[in-house]
Amino acid sequence: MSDTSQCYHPCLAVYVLWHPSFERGEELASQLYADLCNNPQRPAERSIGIPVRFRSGPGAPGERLPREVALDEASHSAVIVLVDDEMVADEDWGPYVARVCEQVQQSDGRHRVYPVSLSEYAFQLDPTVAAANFIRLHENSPENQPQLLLNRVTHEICRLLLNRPRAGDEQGNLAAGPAPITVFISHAKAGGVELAEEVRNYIHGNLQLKTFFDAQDIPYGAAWVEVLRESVGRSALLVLESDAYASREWCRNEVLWARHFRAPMVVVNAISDREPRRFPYLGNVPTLRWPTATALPYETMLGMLLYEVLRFAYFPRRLEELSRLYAVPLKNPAIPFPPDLLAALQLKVESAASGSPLFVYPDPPLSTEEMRLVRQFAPELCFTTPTMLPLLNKDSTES
Amino acid sequence: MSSAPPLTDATVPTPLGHLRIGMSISESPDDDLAARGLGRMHLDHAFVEIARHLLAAGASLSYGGDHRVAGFSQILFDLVRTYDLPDKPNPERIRNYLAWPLYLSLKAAVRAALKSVAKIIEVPPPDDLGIDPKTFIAPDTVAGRRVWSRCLTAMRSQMNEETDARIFLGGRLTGFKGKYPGLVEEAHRAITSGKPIYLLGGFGGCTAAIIEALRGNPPESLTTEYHRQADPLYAQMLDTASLAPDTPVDYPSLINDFHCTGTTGLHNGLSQADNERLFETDDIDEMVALVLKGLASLP
Repeated sequence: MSDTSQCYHPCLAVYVLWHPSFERGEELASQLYADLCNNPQRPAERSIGIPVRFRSGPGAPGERLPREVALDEASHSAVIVLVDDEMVADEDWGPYVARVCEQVQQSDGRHRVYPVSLSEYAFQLDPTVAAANFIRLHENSPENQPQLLLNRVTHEICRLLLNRPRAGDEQGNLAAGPAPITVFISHAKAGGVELAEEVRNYIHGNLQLKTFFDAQDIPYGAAWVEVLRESVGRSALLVLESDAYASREWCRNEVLWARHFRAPMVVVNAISDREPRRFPYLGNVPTLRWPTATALPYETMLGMLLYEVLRFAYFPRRLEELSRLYAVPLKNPAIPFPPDLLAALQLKVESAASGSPLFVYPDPPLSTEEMRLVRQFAPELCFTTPTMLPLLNKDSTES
Repeated sequence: MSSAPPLTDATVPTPLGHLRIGMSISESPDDDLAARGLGRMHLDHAFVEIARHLLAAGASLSYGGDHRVAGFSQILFDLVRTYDLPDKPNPERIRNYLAWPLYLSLKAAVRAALKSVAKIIEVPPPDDLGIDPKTFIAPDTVAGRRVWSRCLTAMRSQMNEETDARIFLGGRLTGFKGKYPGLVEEAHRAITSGKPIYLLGGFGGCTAAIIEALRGNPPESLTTEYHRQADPLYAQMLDTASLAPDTPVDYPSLINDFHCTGTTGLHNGLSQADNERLFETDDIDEMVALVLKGLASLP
């Protein structure tokens, strides 16, 4: 029997580098940890669980630099470098970061480095660290930087994960060049166009996302569905729920097709007065009240959406590694959200095709009253979370 | 408290339902954590993940005065409710052992927070000390340190008796109020009484020092001289106070016991290679998997 140690190779690791004298470094790094990995202070939230490691303090007594970044310990490593004045001014840090960049360049795209400018002089850090690759934050106010940093990093990690073939998937869907993530802006013409245009304009001005904006971008009918089908895994639905949204057949169809392809979704609740009947299939997704009181409303909205894209991209990969670690083969795809009846409807069909009733969704487990409904509807299916994987032996993954 | 869900699937196996696991998880020195690229958040995350997986597998947990039990009472409450066992009421699943006089200053708010979460076990001072158990004694005199040392040893001794296996992660090597750094005393007691232990070395601290001692490279931080220099009051206690009937402070004897056990003598259900991996990894998923593997393989 092979040792556990030989089986385990995490799919993704994030490193955050900052100079120990950078006052806000630890705060920014901790915020990234809480958002990308886990926030034990907010246990009700379903965290993504990406391992995040820090590189700031000396790696050994008497040393000035942190320990080296071990890029190859994970299939993909994303290195975020918070470049402030202290880091630029410190003679040792430029070469340290340059070493990381060189290793990344030799990694054939498996690893990435994302320098973040937190000073106007950040681009002087080292010649190897090209100005073009920076996430530019130095012109934003310190209060806004954490949200912007998270959104940019989330987006970059999505691109890293979505543009590489999955482990073992050598004939995978690797695009000729990096394919952007597509945001379908689902809205009702009546009462929804203005907001939809504002969102589209914000995206075009600030983010490298592709947008689909109603029937003017693509024809109605089967072609729309084909576009959605082709961009599965790299598209997301942003629902701008205005008063008329639920009354529009095409809006309802967009939601159902997005659910059918298991596309990540966020609902922006922009009801100004009332709706006679809310569309029942808008549930089980994060929602944002609009207008929102945050300082960066569009960043908040798109950040939520990108976060869901990341969740949907990462969870299946993490589950693959865990299934290898615990030697529990899984025949069905990972479900990156807790199941509801609509999901169970689709999964009945998938389970019949695969022959396995077992589906895994992220911790924490669904509450009893919800699970009871799902079980009632699909008693033949078995839903569980990664926590329970070590307790499943090979036999119980068959029916 | 939030309404966390009990898991009602009766077919879920609970292979560790017969085990009570002692948890010795505490902060390594900040610079040690920082050197490894870790911080308090990683430790807190490890605390929760280990608890989650052990409770899900049916195990009961014991902590020795860990402030995180109160700090994470909400999470622990949710976890025991989620993974509840019909034959074990929730507060039985988690125990928090408190040494005297620490439980004297336990605030009502903390007791209230822990009411449905954990059983607080107050270990009284040994009778022969002849002290009034209601009067707090501070550890800022030699006499006080002697009392604290005896009481902490009593708590650790009782907790050790009542646990089946022990997990170690992190731990401070200085600033302790007892006979030895807490995790060192707990590990020594566990090993010498034949309890399987799991040393998660990736977070450094005491646990890493214990691992080095097992390997035959005892660090300076496990010597009498190091602690005498670090803590003059401790040095005075060593010179003037007796811990009888407990054994006296004897780092060389401790080191010898660790070395005799060695990395092959842990008998924790893991292979040598898996133990070596556990000594090194800082990946929480991997740590958890190895611990579960070992516990499930115990005879």
